[in-house]
Amino acid sequence: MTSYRLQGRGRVDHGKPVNFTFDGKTYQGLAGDTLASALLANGVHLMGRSFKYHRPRGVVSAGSDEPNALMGTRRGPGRFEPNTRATIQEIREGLEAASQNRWPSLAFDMGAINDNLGSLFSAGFYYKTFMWPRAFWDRVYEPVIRNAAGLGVSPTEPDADSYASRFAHVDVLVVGAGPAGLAAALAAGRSGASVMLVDENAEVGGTLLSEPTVVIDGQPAWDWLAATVAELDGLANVQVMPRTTAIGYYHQNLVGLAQRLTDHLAAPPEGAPRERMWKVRAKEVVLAQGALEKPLVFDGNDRPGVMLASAAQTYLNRYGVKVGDRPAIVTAHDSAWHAAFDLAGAGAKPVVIVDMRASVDPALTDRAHALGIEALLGRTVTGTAGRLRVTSLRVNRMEGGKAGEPRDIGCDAVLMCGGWTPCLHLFSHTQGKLAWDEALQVYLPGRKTEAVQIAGAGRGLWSIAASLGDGANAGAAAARDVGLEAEAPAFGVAADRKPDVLGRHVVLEVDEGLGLGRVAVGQERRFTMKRYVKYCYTTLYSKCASGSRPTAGIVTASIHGPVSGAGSRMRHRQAPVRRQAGAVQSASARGCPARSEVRPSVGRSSACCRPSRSRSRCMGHHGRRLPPRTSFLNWPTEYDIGVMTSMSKIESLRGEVGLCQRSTTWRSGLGSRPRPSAGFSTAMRRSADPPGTRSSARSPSWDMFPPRPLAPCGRTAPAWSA
Amino acid sequence: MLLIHCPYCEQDLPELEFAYAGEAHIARPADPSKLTDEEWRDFLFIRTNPKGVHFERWRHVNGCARFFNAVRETVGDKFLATYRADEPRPDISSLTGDAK
Repeated sequence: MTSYRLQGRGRVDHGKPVNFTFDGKTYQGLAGDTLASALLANGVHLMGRSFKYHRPRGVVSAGSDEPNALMGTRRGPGRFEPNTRATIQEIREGLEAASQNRWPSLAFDMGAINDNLGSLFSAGFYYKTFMWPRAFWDRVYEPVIRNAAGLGVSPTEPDADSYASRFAHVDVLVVGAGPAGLAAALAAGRSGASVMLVDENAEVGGTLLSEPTVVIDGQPAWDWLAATVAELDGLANVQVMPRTTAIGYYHQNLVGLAQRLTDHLAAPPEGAPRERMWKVRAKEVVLAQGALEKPLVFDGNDRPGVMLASAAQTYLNRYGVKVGDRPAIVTAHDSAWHAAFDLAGAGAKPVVIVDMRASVDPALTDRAHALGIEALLGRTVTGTAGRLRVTSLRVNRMEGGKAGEPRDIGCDAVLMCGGWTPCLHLFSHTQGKLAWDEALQVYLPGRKTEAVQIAGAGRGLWSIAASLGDGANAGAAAARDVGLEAEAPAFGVAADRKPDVLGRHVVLEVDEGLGLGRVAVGQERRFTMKRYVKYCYTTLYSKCASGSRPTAGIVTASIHGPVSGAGSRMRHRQAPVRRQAGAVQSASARGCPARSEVRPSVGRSSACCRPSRSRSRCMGHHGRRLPPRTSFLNWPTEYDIGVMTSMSKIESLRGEVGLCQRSTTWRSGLGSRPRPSAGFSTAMRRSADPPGTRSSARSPSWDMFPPRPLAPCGRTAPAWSA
Repeated sequence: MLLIHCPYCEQDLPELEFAYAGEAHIARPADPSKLTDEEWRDFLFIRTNPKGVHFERWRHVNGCARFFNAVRETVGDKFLATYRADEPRPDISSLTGDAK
């Protein structure tokens, strides 16, 4: 057992070692580990290379929002899958995992030369530079560029697995089994309503799994959790489904679920389907999806060892793994202080807590001093150093909004926290509007269009006590709406450490090496709409992190637009799902070449499970315009990417850039590597401005979602219909 | 996928069973030969196509195969009501009041 695994801690089974391989080397984890936690327990932080510049990348999160730790996993012939998120994949005996996008090896990657030359590649570099001779593009330039870019390699063998499909009708569907979701399922389940509780993790519990010190109804959190799950299991009208991702929210409360059935089993039963697609029609839906932690923006925030503070807390408390011996904490929110205290309690020696706020709760600083952790307030971080693992952190004092004298502090991990943002992606599928909350500085659910309740952190209620209460109310309300007598149970919560305050609003994607410079290039090209800047000049929103980290803040701040805007939405899908999950029969039987992980919203078509009605037919047919979420798998992308609705924008795009496609090369990054030091403090200042204070007169015309009327269709009606 | 209430079958059934059939309540002129070209064009092609409440014909093509009328709110794509083809159009304000 390694020094990073803490004996007796976490929910993993310390008596059951599991062997797996990563890049050919055998490692040992424990039953209950994910691939990421098992590798971290072995001291492995370097898990991949970035998309274009081949920068070393380590794990950032502990959940489905992981942008970096993407691996190829294999289970025999026909069962190779690229881009598996190591934070989701549970280890099993004999699991083979391999890093991606590196040659010859992960630690020494020739492609990293791009990183050093990165300053030569401005946005649109390829298409401006490799224009001549024209014929060279197909035969010379593109193959070379394409080879250097990308992540996983598509499998070529036929998929050996089968995939199942099922319909269900329930009274209440609860999405997310954290405190709010569990409380909602309890309230609705006790009333006699048929309830389905789904959670994408292997285990239900959500935040409670990472917060074992909370006391609920006089019991420690994990005991309460076990009792609650036992009660739910005992109710015949409640179905609890872990490893199930809600992938889409369609008309009249039809929700698509992708359930992973065998990927976590060492020896799946003969003939068992690998995944099952559920199409659930619910009378009421409760969305209890919680919140996502926001990363902070600084140079080198993508080095292995830099991760979200909540992820470190999860690895510690849920998996019994400390992510480093000398972590440094960079935060703008109280929650990361508790991550530091937890790590200190587990034997790590946090070197420093850098808080960007000028003052924090004195109880936190006192506790830090008592534990011997240096606390620096009102500072910012402008960089990190280290080749394959972070080795130091550069901290600057904030002087009049600018970064002052730097100080380098040695560390072996950096835990960052830029506050939290509600996870409202499914809600956005329903044409539900988001409303900017001035006090909390986040988007909260606004106008609803379906019979849906949002509970817990999704509504900006961060504390566990508030989430439990809110979930119970939502569950009871849902049960009452279907005509049952329901009462919201009350919970007594003690030792709740989740604060109800938020930090700053600073966000930027980490996985694509997006630099502020690239946003600026987008603006130079007169793309003043947030959406176009995001899609056309950055690689935000491609790949797995699509929609999983809110980006409005920085882009908006840079475009001098209001942060809020009527009709703001989160992007459609957060968690990637396999397309085959939608196929009813075995994919191989239908001639599907191979499995791959795709985001359907990218819009690459595949013959194996194209929806039965193509969108073009739906739209052209009789002039009835379908809104974006009508076809079941939410296929094509006109609405998604918000570009194609306006031909003038296409013309403009082609005129400026010369190309408008979402191929690998295009997405491989058009701009310079991150150079945020100078722009960073500017962005911080701007995004700290209250939204709407900067030239907010401009209407948010980038909202292209409402369907526009089509031309008349010209069908005649018989006289008797008048 | 929408559920559509067929007023003949008196059931909520999935959208896949139905086909859209243009705007409702458009009377064919009694004597087309008396019309000007413009009036004939308007009858054939010009539709209200509103953003909001729309009266339209649907056909339960994979069921009873009959035509009926529907009131649909086109922004949110929600059916406010469906009624038989021989019934008069319902009062919009009462329907939208229910819907909001």
